[in-house]
Amino acid sequence: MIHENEVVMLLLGVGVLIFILTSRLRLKQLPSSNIITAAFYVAFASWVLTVLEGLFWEGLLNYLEHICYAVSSILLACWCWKVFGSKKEAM
Amino acid sequence: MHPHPAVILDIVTFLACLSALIILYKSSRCATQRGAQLLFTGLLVFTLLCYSFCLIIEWSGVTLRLDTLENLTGALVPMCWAFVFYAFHKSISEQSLRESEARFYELFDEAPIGYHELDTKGRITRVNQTELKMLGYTDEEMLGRPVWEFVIEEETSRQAVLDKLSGAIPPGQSFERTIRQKNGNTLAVLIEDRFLHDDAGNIIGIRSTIQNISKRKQTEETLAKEHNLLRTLIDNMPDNIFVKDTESRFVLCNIAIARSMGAATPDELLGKTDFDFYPKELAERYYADSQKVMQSGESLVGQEEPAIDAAGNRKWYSTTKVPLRYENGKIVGLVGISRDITERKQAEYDREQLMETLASKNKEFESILYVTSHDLRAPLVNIQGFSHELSLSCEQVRSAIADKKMAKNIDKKVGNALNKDIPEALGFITNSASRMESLLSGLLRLSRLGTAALRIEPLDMKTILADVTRSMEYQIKQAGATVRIESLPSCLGDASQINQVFTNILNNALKYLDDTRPGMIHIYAKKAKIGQNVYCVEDNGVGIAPEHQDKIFEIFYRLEPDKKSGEGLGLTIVKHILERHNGRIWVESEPGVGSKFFVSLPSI
Repeated sequence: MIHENEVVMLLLGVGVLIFILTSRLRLKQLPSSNIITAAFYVAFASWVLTVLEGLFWEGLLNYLEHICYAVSSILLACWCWKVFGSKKEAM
Repeated sequence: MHPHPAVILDIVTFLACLSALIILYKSSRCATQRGAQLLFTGLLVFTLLCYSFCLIIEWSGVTLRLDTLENLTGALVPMCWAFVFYAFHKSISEQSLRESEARFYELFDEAPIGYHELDTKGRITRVNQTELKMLGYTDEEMLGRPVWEFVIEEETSRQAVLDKLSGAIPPGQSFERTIRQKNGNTLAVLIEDRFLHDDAGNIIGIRSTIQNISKRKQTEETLAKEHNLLRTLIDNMPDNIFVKDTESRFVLCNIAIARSMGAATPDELLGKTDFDFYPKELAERYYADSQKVMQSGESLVGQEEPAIDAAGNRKWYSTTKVPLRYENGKIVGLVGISRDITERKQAEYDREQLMETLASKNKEFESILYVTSHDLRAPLVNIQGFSHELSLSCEQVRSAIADKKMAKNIDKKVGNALNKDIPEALGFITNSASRMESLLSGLLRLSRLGTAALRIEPLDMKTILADVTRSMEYQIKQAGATVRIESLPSCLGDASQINQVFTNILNNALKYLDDTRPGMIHIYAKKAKIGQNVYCVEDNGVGIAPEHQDKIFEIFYRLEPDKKSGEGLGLTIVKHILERHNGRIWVESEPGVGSKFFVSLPSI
C-alpha cells in the first residue's frame, strides 16, 4: 500500500535531484562533493524504495530502504568529519 | 527477543546523524558558512527526529500521533536536502564572484602599466597601484583631482580631455605626455584612452592606460644621435657608400653616390636598382657582382670597375662589397664602398701612352742614328775621297806647271786633269753635298713636327680631302688616276697637319700605282670603336710585300729607292702627326692588287 507522504517525499526528492544535476558543475566546487552527492543519491534511492515497497516485495525493499538510510547517514557523517572535523579550514 | 534488522539499521542511521551533528557543532572554523551550517543542521535534526519516532514506534507500539510526526519530519528531509544544496550553490556563486572581483582588483592594481579612470569633468575617479608607484602619489592625492594637474603640458591636456569627453575628439589614439611626479621630476609617458559608457550608451568617463616610456625615449634619443653621427660620417665621406638588400635595391646611400648617380638626395635612390641609372651592360655586371657576394658570403675587395656618371662621363671606381648579416648569420644584403679612381686610371693610361711613345721615339731615334750614321757616311766618304782625288789632280797640275822639262807635255797632262778628273770629282762632291742637304732637311722637318703647336678643332674631312685632291690635281692627271671620295664623318685635329697626312698618303698612292692598269684611289670611312673615326685610302697600285709593311713607316725607308724618287720621310711624318693627334695609321696590302691605308682620328 502506497502512503501519500511517501509519494510527496519522493516528488520533493526528484525536485532536489533535478537541481543537483543541473548545478553539478558548480556543486563540484564543494569540498569532497562526491561524498555529499553520493549521500543524497543513496537517500533518494531509499525514498524510491519506500514507494516501491508499497507495490511489491515489501519485506525486501523495506530492508533495502533502511540500508540506504543508514548508508546515507554514514556518508553524511563522513562528509561532516572530512569537511568540518579536520583541522584545515574547509569551506 | 531479537530486534528487527530494520531497527538496527535505524539505530545506525540515528547514531550516524548524531555524530554528524556533534562534529558540525564542535567545529568553530566555518563561520563564513553559517547559513549552510544551519540548514545542514536542520537536515540532520529532522532526520534524527524521523528515526527517533521510528524507533519509538517500533519499540513502544504507539502509532497514533508519532506516526503522523514521523511522516511530517520524513517529508521535511528532502526539503532540507533542497535547502542545503541551494545554500551551497549560493555560497559557491558568491565566493566565485568575490574571487573574480579580487582577481580583477589584483589585475588592475598589479598591472605592468598604469590605469586611471576619469569622470565627465576630467577628475580622476580610480587609479591603480602601478600608476601611483610610477608617479609617487597616494590615491588620496590623486583621486578627485583633474588629470591635467599632473601633466606638464597642462593646458593642452585639459583641452584634449574636455574635447574627448564632449565627443569632439575620438579616443583610442595613443599620445605622449610628460607627467609631473610627486618628487618634482618629470616622466615621459605614453597614454591611450577609451571611453566608458553607461547602459544607454552615454559617455560617463575615460579609462586611460599609462606606460613609462622614459627609457624608450632615452634609447630613441641615443639611437637618433648615433644615426645622426653615422649619417654625418657617411654623407661627408668622399667615397660612395651604399647598402643594398638581397634584390640589389638601395636601402641606404650617402650624398656622394647620390651625386654621382644624378640624384638630388640619397633618399631618391632608395628602393631603386642600378638598372634605373646605368646602361644595361653595366647594371647587369654590378647586379651579378652583388648577387655573387650575397650568395657566396665572400667579400669582393677593391674591384676596379667602369661606370658612367650623371653627366655621361666615363669613370672608374674601386669597389669593395661586403655581405651584410643579421645576428643569426643570415645574409640580408651587402654594404658597398666605391672610390673614384678615374684620375689614377687616367694617369696610368697616360703613363702607358707615354711609355709607348717613349719606346717608339727611342726606336725612331735609334733608326735615325743608324740612318744618319749610315746614309750621311756615304756622301761624306764620297766628299772625302773625291776631295783627295781633287787634291792629287791639283798637285799634278802644279808640278806639271813647275817642271819646265815637262812643258812640252803640259797640255796633255793638265788637260786630262782639268777636263776629266777634276770635274768628275767636283760633280761627286756636289751630289754628295746635295744628298746630305736633302737628308738634313728631312731630319729638320721631322724634328719640327714634334715641336709645332697643334690647333685642335672639329674638321670637315670632306672639305679637307677636297682641298688635298685639288692641290694634287696636276699629279693625279699625270698619273692618269681617278680619285673617288665618299661621305666622311668629321673629326678633331689640326687642319694643316691632317691635310699633310692625306697629302702624303695620296702622294704615295700615286707614286706606286701599277702602270699596267688605270689608277683608282678610293677614300671612304670605316666603322670604328666609340670615340674614333677611321678613314681608308684604298688604291689598286703595286702593293707592298708583307715583309715591308712594318718598315714603310720607318724614317728614310723607301721601297724602290732606285726607281722612285723621294726621301723616305712621307709615311714617317704621317705616323708622327697621327700619334700627336692620339690617332694611328696601319696598312693592309697585297702585292699586285693594291694597298689600303687606314687612318684613325678622334671623333667629335
